[in-house]
Amino acid sequence: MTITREEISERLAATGYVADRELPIALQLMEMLGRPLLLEGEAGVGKTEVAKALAQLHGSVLIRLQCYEGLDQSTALYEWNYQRQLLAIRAREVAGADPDAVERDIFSARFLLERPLLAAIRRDDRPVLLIDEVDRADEEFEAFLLELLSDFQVSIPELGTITAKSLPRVVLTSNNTRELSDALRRRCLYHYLDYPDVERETRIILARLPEVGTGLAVQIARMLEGVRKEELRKVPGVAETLDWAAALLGLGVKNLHDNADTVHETLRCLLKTHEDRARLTREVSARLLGRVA
Amino acid sequence: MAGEPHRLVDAACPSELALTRLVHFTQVLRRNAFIIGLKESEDAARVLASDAASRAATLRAALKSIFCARRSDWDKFDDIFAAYWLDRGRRRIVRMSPHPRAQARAAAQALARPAGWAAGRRARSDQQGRH
Repeated sequence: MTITREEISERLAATGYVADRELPIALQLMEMLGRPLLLEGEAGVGKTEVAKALAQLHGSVLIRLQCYEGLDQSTALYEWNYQRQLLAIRAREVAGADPDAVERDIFSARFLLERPLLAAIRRDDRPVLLIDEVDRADEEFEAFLLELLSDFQVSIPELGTITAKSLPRVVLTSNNTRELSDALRRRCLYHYLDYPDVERETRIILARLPEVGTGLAVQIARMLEGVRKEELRKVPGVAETLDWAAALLGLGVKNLHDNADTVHETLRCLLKTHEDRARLTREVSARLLGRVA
Repeated sequence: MAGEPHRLVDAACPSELALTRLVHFTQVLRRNAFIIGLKESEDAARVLASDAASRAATLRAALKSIFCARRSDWDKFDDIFAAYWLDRGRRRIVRMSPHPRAQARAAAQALARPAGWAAGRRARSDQQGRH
């Protein structure tokens, strides 16, 4: 193994990512077994951040493919630069070039538009390839992805087979909007990211916003723990925690108990739906604040 | 499970027994609806031969990452691991390969029994069976 679990934990912390206890082991296994990592969890728990931190940790480039319904191979893999090809054809027609030579030229690598997947396998250094929200892509695309992750090679009819120069570190994320196939799941190592507990969320706040101070950071984390237990349609994630902490910092709040009104007004900003805002009444805010030491 | 003192496997050389236990563990997981193929077992065997196997907490996290494929697996893995490797598993080891001291104690007890003890016991149980 080239990098130890302790080194991974330390380097993750240095990038500002506060991992749970098990994540460094999964990242270590990625290195050891050369397998992709599938991250699942609710929206806002920091799945995408893992890939960013991993790229920083290895000092490598992050290549991101954002998946969506209707994503096809050409958008994910490569496209020919048609405008440039047409211009080249016109220019050579005027010059009276040999048609076969023109054809060979316009289907060469310089007319190829690399999309994320091809870019990832053509790099010399090992990039981190983030395939974000893979559950939003269609099943056909998932099958194609499975093939790519098995061989790390793609066939371009006009150019032949392109094999990866170095195997990228692949991170797939899913919010579970669609059940992924067993085949894709089994290809990957698995890690479920949950909302952070109070201790971890405190460390996240302090890592990102050290000016907040430990006392207020603990109070914020405890409030969020309470908010997440309420029946909400959109549970606030870590990004919302950080936004709230920044807002409180900006408003000069040092202790939540001394600023109950501000807490209530700003806490409502964490919530994304009208229904959730209506649910978080002043009484609910006071009850949640009452549980914060 | 932080701070678990258990050293489940000799990482430098996973014994045949450790590998056998791993195979049994995969069977237990399959009975609990985990989908595990040869590739996962092979990767798990590599983990057994690595530093990750030196502590229960790291072995658990590593095997969890390999054997789980979905949230439902993730939620039940820790309990199954604890039951197999930390409690029930240890008793199984005793059955499969008794500790040398236990073997010696059993042999000594057998020698200390009066001659015909086993035959007499069998005879008594036969009589009880007939009544």
